[in-house]
Amino acid sequence: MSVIELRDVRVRYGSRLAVDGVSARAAAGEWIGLIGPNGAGKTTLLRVLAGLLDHDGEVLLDGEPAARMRRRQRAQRIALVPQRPLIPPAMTVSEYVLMGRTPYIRYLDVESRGDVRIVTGVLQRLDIDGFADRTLGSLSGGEQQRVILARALAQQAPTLLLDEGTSALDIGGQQEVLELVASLRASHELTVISAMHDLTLAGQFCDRLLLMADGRIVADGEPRAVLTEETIRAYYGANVRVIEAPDGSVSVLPIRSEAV
Amino acid sequence: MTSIDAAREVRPVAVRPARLRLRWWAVGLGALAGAMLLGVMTGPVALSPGAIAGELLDRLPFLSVDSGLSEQQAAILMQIRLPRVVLGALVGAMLSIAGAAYQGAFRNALADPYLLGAAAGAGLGATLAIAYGNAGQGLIPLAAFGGALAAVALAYSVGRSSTGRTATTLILAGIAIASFLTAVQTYVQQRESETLRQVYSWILGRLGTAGWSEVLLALPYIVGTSAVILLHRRHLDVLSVGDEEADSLGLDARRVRAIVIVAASLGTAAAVAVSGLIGFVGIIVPHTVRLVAGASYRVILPLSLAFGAAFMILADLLGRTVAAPAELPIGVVTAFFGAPFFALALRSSKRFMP
Repeated sequence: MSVIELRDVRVRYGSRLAVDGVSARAAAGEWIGLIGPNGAGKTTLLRVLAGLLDHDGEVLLDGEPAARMRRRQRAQRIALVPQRPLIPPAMTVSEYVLMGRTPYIRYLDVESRGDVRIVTGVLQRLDIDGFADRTLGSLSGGEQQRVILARALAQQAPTLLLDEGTSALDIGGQQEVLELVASLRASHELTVISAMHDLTLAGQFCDRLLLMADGRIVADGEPRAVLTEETIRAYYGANVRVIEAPDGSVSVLPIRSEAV
Repeated sequence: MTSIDAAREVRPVAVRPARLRLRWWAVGLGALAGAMLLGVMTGPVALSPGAIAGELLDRLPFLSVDSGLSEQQAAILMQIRLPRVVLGALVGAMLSIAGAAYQGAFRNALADPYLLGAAAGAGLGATLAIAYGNAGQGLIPLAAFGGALAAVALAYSVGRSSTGRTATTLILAGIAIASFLTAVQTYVQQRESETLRQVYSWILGRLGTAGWSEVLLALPYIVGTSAVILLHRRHLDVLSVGDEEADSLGLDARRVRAIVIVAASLGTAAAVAVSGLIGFVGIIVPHTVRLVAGASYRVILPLSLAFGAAFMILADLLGRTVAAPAELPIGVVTAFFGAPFFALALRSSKRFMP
């Protein structure tokens, strides 16, 4: 049964269609990578899924129209790690991750002991329980990334949306966070939809890739099928070599064209 | 992976929601009690703490205590100093919590009821009601509230529509709106000179001439709106990550902002109605609290109430003693401390707001 379904979704920014008739399905437990050049509509599509944008067409979560859900209900099903999260520097890690419990707390209530217990578990799972009382401003970029992920996990939503969550990190940091997402996905049975710039990482971590260009999905399939030298040249205007490892995973290498 | 290994060596720290610690409760209430006592003791006729306590106990039902105060001294305490101190406490608490509320709702560490134009809007609303409204006194607070809300809405929309919006844009817009509204108000005052005296006493309504009637007029608004703001302390913390993230966490950011701003503006209007235009309290107090006690609104809001009340009582005390027997308007005292403080806050505002 498909967890998420998009039916002919369109988003207009002024006169421009940022998303132009996208229909897609994500099965439960799948990791889908959204790739495509800048301005292709990846972030817009994630914001539609998170319920942050007015749009035409339908979004169905477990068969239910998301438009009819209350904001809290949607936040219990979909957690978003935004591209550039606002980090209040004086807030502590505890306080920040506890915000992930917002969809479960009644309007005028505060966090219960149960919420504290859940957040304690999440911090342990991500190995950041040692600095629960540190302020966000005192953390390194990689540590902040973990804390942001922890807040999304505290939402206990079955679907995790990652918007280029790792692009600010160095190569080791990127790998570390993606490995973490992969293991969380396995242990928490998460569906993951991530917008990604790095095609090699996308090819290695995702089950399926959706290539977007000008607001449309122009290719959809397993990484080997989508990441071809011709496709990447056509949509990114990039000269690359695609290398397939014996296990079937692919790496994308940029190559300088010979005639300069 | 080294960072994981490093984290493992650190002992786990307990997860804790932000809350106001007991010792800050004690400091806040202690400061308020101390300021109130100092406020009622000091004046041309000095009253001793023991006598004040005795007199107050004597007023309680079923208790009879001989305070040793003469009838005249008792009247000074009960009819002049106490209402003045209580009113100062209410106004200071309100302007401070309103400032903190605006700061959270606008995510802007420089917001203040005075700098946003809310106070000037309330003044103009009241002036219009006095000059042209025939409905009498009952209409004035409502007109003040309408004016306060309109001024904040105007400052917000002007500040938002300008390109390159920063924390200071909103404040510049607020100051422009405030100047304009004050100009309109002055014009109306001059045109309708027969009501001038009434307007003046209302706008400048110093704490000095206040009695229990002013306290009773402002009390329900101040208690009610402060309660609404306090109930949104957790939401104001969530708003600090921005509207979009707050929405994705299941909180309706715009609704929370609207509720908090309406409450802060109504409270400001009530405070202006009894005290006149008093600036900078709403920025000095929450800022100091943020620096010393913590950045969560669960800490800032209640402590702003207590320290704001204490600050206003002391500012008023200074205003009536420094040039005695003459009195400095309290707005002059708060501006004397507030303007330099604002300059400091301006320099450091980047540290608090992303």
